[in-house]
Amino acid sequence: MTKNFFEVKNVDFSVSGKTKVKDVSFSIKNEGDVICLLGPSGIGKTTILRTIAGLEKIDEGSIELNNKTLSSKKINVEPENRNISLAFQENSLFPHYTVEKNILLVENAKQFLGTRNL
Amino acid sequence: MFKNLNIWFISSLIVSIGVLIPIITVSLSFFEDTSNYYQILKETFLLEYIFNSLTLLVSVLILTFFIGTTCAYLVSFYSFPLSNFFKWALILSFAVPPYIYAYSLTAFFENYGTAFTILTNVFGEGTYNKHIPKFDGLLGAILSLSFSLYAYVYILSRASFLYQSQNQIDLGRSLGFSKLKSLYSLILPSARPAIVAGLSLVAMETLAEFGAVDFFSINTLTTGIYNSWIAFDDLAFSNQLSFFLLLFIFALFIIENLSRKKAKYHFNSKGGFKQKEKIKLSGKKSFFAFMFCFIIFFLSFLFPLSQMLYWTIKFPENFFDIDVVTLTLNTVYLVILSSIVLIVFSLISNYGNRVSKNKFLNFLSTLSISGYAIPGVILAVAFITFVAWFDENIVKSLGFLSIKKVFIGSILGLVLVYFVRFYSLAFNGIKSGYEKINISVDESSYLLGYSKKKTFMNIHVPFLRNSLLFIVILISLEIVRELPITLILRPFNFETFATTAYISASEDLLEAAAVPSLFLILIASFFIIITSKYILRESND
Repeated sequence: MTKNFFEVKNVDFSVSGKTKVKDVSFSIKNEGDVICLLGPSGIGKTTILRTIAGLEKIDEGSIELNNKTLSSKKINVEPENRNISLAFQENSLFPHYTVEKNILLVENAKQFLGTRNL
Repeated sequence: MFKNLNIWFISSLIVSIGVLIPIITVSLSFFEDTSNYYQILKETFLLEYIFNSLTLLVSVLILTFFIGTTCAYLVSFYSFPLSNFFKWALILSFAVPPYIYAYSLTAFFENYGTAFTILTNVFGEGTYNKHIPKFDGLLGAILSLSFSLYAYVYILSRASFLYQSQNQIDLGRSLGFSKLKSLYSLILPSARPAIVAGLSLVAMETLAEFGAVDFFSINTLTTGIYNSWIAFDDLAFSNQLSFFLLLFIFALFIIENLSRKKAKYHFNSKGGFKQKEKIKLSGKKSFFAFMFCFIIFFLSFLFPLSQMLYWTIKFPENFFDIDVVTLTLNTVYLVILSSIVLIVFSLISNYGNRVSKNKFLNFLSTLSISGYAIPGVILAVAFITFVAWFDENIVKSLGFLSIKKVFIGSILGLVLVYFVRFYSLAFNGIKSGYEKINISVDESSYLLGYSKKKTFMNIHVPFLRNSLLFIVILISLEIVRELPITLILRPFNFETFATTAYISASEDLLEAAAVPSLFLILIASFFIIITSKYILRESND
């Protein structure tokens, strides 16, 4: 059986003792596959995306990409080293930079990051 | 609890604990034994100390409330001759510390003082002394503190008035309210949090005031604190007195907070705000509005400035008695060192709080900014107490050489205590800058591949540049004016304009105090003028 390209396994995440998501699991079989995360408002879709991007640390379970563990109870790869992008709902431009500089920041980042995985 | 433990969290924690040490020292001394000075004081002057402190506090609060809110109301709601000039000129009173105002007041009204000279020159020789009112003692201190501190109330209430919507004023009109009724039943209650914030700063400064109170020889709790340490060598009791002072300040805050119940004072940012139109005054009303602002500007700034200028010109020899270059260099040296320390550590602490999102750290940081509420005399004494304890119990027991000389009577010690005292200025200044950066900006940066350090250096620091400049100037302003900490902890033969003025005045050489006082006012005014737009804009936010 071939290993999945991306895998979220039994992920738990809580803030100040309050459980936000519990025992979440899903996978993406091949690189380039498009999946959709569906659910009612407040169920934790954004939270799951944030844990995948590394913006939140998980309490239990694991997140793996290309056979590499990005998050688990013990391991936490920093977001800047994950090579994962996320589009925010709200405006997150750098307010003190011009439009040009905002775009150049992305270009500069691409130079050292190469192509995005996810 | 410590899920997001990282180097920023630890650095931030260390900074907060470091700032808290003198504050904790003051609090812990509450449980220590004191000498019989407490007994002596209780039987003699304690009631007088408390009465004077309360009288001073209540009078200054009433006067600053009246002056600050009236000026803010006039320049925010009305247009009259020079109203745009007064808008920023009224902040210039910050350049005159209460002790310099006290020197000016005495110099002008004393027997054969400036008032006497003016009357003699205008009306010829006469027995004017007995007719010239004397503004000394408690009255002198109340006036000095009020004219020096009202700007706190002015700035904050003006900012709040600016955010009041035209809708609210129109509502008052439609209810048939007169302008006066609108003022006390709509405008002032809406600005209550800002006015209270301004008054609480005034309260802290009043209770912490040393120079003016000492100059007028008034026995207040601050004097008691100083005396119990200097005259009776009872550090524990001086700390206990200051602890009581702090409790008193906190009690005021709590009462105010409780009295608000659940009232909300902010406007819905999504709508309902209508820009106010200033009412153009004419005739008598315009004249009275102009005169009120002018008299306050004159009394709070022009009067002490001209008194010091007059004496500097009248007694030019004093100008050559002080080494202006050395005093300037000393001040600049302290300003640069303190600014660097304050900015660097406040940035670290703020960023640590931001990335850690830890409630415990947040609580510690909030607690650590309370240093601003502690009188400078107490902070200096608490610092000496802690260094002495640390030296005796830790350093010497480990067999190392004493560290007292490194921290007491040294620039390092002075800068460290400035750090504790003015930490809230730097911390809150940076915090308000940070609040304008959405957290998703940080997250975008991480996802673009920037580490926390790179995000801090490449995204945050450039964004905060203007706030940092503003904070540096505020710190400079505070350090140029600061007296008690510098007086107690400065190295031997190291003087600033403030200490030189104080020493001359305490030797009854008021004329000699004029030159350093004048320089102090001019430097502080320069700092205020270059940041006035920013002060008024920032206070709006």
